Amino acid sequence: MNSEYVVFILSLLVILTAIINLIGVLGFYRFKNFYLRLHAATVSTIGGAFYPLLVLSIIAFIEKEHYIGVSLLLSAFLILLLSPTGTHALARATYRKRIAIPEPLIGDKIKEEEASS
Amino acid sequence: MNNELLDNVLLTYVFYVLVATIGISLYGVIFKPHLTKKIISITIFSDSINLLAIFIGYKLYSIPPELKGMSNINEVLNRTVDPLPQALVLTAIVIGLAVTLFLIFISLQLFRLHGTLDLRKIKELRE
Amino acid sequence: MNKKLIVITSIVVFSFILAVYTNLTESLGPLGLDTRFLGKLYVYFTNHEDLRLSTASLEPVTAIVWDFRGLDTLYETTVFAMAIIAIYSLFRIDSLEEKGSLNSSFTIIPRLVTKILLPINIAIASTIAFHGSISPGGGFQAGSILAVVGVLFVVIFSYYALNAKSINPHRTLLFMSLGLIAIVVVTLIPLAFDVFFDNAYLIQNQPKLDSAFGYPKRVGGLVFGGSIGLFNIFEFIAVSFGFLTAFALLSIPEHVFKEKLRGEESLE
Repeated sequence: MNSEYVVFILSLLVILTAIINLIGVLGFYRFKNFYLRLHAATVSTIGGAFYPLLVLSIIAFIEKEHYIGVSLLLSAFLILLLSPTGTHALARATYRKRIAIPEPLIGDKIKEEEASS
Repeated sequence: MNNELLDNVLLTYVFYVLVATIGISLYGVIFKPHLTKKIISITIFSDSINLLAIFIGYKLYSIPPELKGMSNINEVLNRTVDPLPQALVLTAIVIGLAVTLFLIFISLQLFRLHGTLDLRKIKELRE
Repeated sequence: MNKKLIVITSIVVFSFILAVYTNLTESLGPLGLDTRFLGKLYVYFTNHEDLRLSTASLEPVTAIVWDFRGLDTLYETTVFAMAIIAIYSLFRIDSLEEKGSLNSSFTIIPRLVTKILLPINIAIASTIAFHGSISPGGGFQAGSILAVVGVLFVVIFSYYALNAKSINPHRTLLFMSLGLIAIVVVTLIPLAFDVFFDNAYLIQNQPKLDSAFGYPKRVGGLVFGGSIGLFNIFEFIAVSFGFLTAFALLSIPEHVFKEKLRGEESLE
């Protein structure tokens, strides 16, 4: 009986991640700048794909579906590894080609490095 | 609400959405002037047609057609989905991929020759 | 404007008729309750005890693809290879000797993640290829997964780094042709058996009622599926190298083609 409540709460968490996904999509539409849109896309990949996979793997372990649980954990790990890397590569390539202007700019490390080298 | 009825309604909803996707992608193929968008529409069109074919082989509460770890063949036969559409869709995917690859390369060559992929501008250039 | 309206109306009517027809006829739509007889037959004879009736594989879809409807798949592979060869002849380039800088413009992060990812990718692709006759998967899927390795390598490092590992379009096309030739040889071995020894048929997998020829069902205790396993492995090679050819051609630097086009114009 106890595990049923746990599964219910975890399912609520999955619904919460769907809302995060919606926020990410809205940000992707509403933000003006390429870099800000990239930020919104990363929000929806980490909050909308990594966390629900983690929660689902816990649910699978509670339901004693170990095979599914392990594969969900693996894919969550891969998303955690790949999504920031992809964002980093995209942002860097865009900056170096000067395609988009980084508008709310606080500091510029890349320019400093290029100037020093 | 009855569980089976809910499942049926949801499945029918997905099915109609799929057919609507087919219609929208056909619109894109015909009316979008940019070649890249046309290619994207063609891929969406072929993928939704493939999914429709998979749906035709599907039935509710079924298991994949797999014999590994199954001791009793009759249990598999009673509950399996139809494997034939899946195999045909595999063939269709490969051929669609070959066509898409070829289209992409031809449009790349067109871009190198004309400097644009917009069909309206290419039409102007040819005149 | 009027033409546009007519086309949109016909698209809507077409989709509506498609949806209603396939959904309401019981044997076609997703609401059908029973699997069709032909599908059941395929599943039943995939791993029959009597080897003369079975395909010696555990996976009905792969059995349909490479045994029951083997000719379909043979021609499908031919279509794929034709597309690759057409691309190759469209983008033909004589010399690829040009050397460029090997320095990647990316930081350590993408390079390190790619180095972690590539062995995982290769391992997954070969698992899917070699287990094609046991669990879902097969040659084509594994080949397209392996092709991602090439794309990642070109994007993160560079085309010249791929060239430095002596992978260029000419060589990958050679390997694709070797895979295709191996597929043809596997289909022709029963015919050679028919000529020299006993009765046998084209693309035969297991022994039939009037012929004793058969590929091995098990290799080292694992279900290999006779010719299905061989086909999977060779299709894996052909498809992965075909995709690598396409991606290597796509990643040739633009200025090479610019010079080539200019040269052709001056010839005219």
